Amino acid sequence: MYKFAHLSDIHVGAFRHPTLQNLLLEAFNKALEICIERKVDFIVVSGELFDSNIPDMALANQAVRKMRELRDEGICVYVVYGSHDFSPTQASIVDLLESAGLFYKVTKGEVADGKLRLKFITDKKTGAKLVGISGRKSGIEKEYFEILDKYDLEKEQGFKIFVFHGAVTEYKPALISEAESFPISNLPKGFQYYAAGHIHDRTEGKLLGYDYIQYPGTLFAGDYRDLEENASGKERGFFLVSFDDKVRDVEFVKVSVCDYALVQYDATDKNAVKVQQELLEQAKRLDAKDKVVLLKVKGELSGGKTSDIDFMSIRKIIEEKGALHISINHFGLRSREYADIKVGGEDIHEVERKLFKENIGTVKISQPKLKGDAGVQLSLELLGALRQEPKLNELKKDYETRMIRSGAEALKLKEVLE
Amino acid sequence: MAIEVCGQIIAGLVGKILIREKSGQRIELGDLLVAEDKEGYLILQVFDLIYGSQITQLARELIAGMKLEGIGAGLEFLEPQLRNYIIAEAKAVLRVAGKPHVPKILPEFFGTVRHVMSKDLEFLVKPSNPIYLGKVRSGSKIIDVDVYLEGLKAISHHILIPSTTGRGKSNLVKVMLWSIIGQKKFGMLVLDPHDEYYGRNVKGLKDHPEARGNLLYYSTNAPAGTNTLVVNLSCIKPQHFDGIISFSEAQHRAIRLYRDAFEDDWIENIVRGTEVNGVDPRTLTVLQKIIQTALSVYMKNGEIVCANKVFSDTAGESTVSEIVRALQDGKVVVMDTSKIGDEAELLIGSIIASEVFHRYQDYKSKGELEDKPPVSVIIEEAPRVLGSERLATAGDNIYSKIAREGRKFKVGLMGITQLTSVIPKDILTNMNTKIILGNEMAPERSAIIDSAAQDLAADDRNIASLDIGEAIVTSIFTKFAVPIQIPLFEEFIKSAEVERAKTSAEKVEYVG
Repeated sequence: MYKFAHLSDIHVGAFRHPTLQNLLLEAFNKALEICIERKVDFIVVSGELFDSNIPDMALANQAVRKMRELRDEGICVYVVYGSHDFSPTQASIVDLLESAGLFYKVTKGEVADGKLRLKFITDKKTGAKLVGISGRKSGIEKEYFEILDKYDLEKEQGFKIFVFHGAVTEYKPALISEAESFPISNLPKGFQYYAAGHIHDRTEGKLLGYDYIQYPGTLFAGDYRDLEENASGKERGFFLVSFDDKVRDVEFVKVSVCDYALVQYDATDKNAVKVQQELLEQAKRLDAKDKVVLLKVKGELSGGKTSDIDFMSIRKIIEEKGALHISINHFGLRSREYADIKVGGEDIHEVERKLFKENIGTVKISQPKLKGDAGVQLSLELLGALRQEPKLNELKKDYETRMIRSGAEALKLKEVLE
Repeated sequence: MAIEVCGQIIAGLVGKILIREKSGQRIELGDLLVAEDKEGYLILQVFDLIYGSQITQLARELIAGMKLEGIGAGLEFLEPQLRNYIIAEAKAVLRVAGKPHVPKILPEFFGTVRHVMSKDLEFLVKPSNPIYLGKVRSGSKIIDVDVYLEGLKAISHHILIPSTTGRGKSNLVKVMLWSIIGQKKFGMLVLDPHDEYYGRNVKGLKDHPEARGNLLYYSTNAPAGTNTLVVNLSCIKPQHFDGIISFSEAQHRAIRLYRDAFEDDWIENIVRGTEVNGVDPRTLTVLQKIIQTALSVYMKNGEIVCANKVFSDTAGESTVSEIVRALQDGKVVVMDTSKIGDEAELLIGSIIASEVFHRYQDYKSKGELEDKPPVSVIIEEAPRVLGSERLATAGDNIYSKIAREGRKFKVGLMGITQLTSVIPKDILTNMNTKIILGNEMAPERSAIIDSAAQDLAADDRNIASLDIGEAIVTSIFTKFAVPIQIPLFEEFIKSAEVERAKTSAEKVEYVG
């Protein structure tokens, strides 16, 4: 019996705060240690090992160091790009690490006669055959699936793993129902295992012709919403799959690196003074020692302004209680006096989406792809692309070029990319 | 070229104008004739034909007898074209004097009539939001004038397609949907119990040049590139069963308690047999059986089994919202329900229709409805949900609600039925467009005629004689009850561009 580990959506470099960066790396290291300890034959990463195609090099260096241990142990790592670490010019850190022999991308193939023909990579140790499609921004990978020559892939014999990064419509959670996805029927049938990434919640599925559609979910967190889920009790980890000619067992291996404290506070019908007072009291009562503390405040104040609430003092109290990290989310807090602020949301992504949605109709545009939901999606992609900060020691010129490239990629402006 | 006269008006009254047919001309049942005058012209429609003769009945009988018995084999009428003829009974359907109007005058007495020509129907222009139906038909002759419905109005005012089997209902719906795909102006949800619209193995809507991105197909056995029809149990709300499945008072109360206790997971917990205070175990057992029968969902070896694959406890969380979003984006959504049970089909339709209806109600309350495209739900065998008996026993359902109130919220129904007579009159009256295909059953014709937007009292024979593909369109949005010839779908798409839009291989650059 052989074993492989299936990880996804690790997002090395996702957080700015050093504590969270370190926790994320710790989760990654811990997962790899378990893989070594459990003597896996190989590892599959179904996208987004890194949070961007050129991540912070100090963080990348730490991750790579751990991965070299895998190589020393003779454990191969098979990967696809995710939408975050994808590079249209194959200039991502993923490519760099592949060239360095740490990875094998399983996406080799070419478009011929209108069909995308992919080539299997065979794992030497186990004979498992891997093939896959990377994730891209705005769900562009859908085009690849539409022209994918499934026949050759389906007729191939042996233990086959299809690796991909993207949301399968049938398993898309309600929470991200508006996100890009593609139907399962776009995938070749009859593989023994579908190693999927992109959906951050652990998801296991089975549909006619498709056994083991597995999303391990994020290993730690890709954003603050994930952290809130963690704090609400969501388990994170990866799959450990035992197989011979078929899958014999799928075990979800939990990876936990810290404790959490989640405080959800509804400020509706309370004034700013009362909210401040109650939050301070809650902060004082909170057991925050060595925990990641997430304070989420929402609702409409009956009086006063949101800026009347001194979140700094609340943060200070929690810090003094020895919290590992404190995140205060008050995107959903509104003040009645400021009627012009109409949009609220659970987190910054939701607020942005709602703002674009609300305002896109006021812009006079003729191109359909810039209107409605498509326009909102494009705007979000562009905003995401332009949000990236300069890397440490990155030259201004290089930063500009990178931003132009990211923006052009988000807007799908091929001529700029060329 | 001289316009050929085909008859002359000889007598009659407003609803029954008698026209003597010119010899050598052929006036058919359903023919559109034109009687011109100084200001314009009247369009008449023939609804009956009778023989006329200058020779007495006795004399005709005698002559016929002599010929039959071989006594006067060579006997002929003197100038037979003058003495024996056909009288057409017609009614004025439209007066055109600059603009088309409802006729309020008789044509000139003893005036001549001719067959209608395309120039007489120039007022039938293509609307800005067209749904194609076919060409104008005069009797069995096709006039080269296209007939469209103005979709924005017609869809939310409901459409009924009454017909018996084999008269071309599905063909008509396919033609209509083909003309809609790509317009992005109306959302159409098609519950397809025969899997005949998409064209899985034959020509169908999938072959439309703009199908990609504008047509969504859901099936439990989805072909490549299409969607699996799978709905998560958590998407089902108790009200989705309204009028589809009857529950006793005790069962209703139990469902309410499960919903309160488990929110979206209420079905899962009923199936699992989780105990809830206030619910009698016998009631729970009955509910489990109902769910097993209607949804094919039950427990086996401690696991939830979703036998018909259309409901799931793991997959399909976003299916409903995906479909609703597609409808709101003006797409056509075809759901192959051929492999799921009748109740499951109606329930899935109910889930989606309810979601659309409530969302559109919400848009109206926020003043956002104006920007939304109308959405229509196409349902075959409409009496399953709109039949009087059904409504009396199971109560109102979302379909009857849409039929009665949907117009205010831009949500319509397109009902297809063989049995118009079992649909309540208030619902029939609300269906403001009827595309009437052939029907040999007199009670059905009567129900159709009684609820038509135009006066079809004299058209019973016309409807009875409609051949395959022939129809009469009666609508509050058409100037008159327009006889049409619906093209055969396969022929129709040949004349359109049938080359399906494919992802151009040259355009896709692969980055692995």
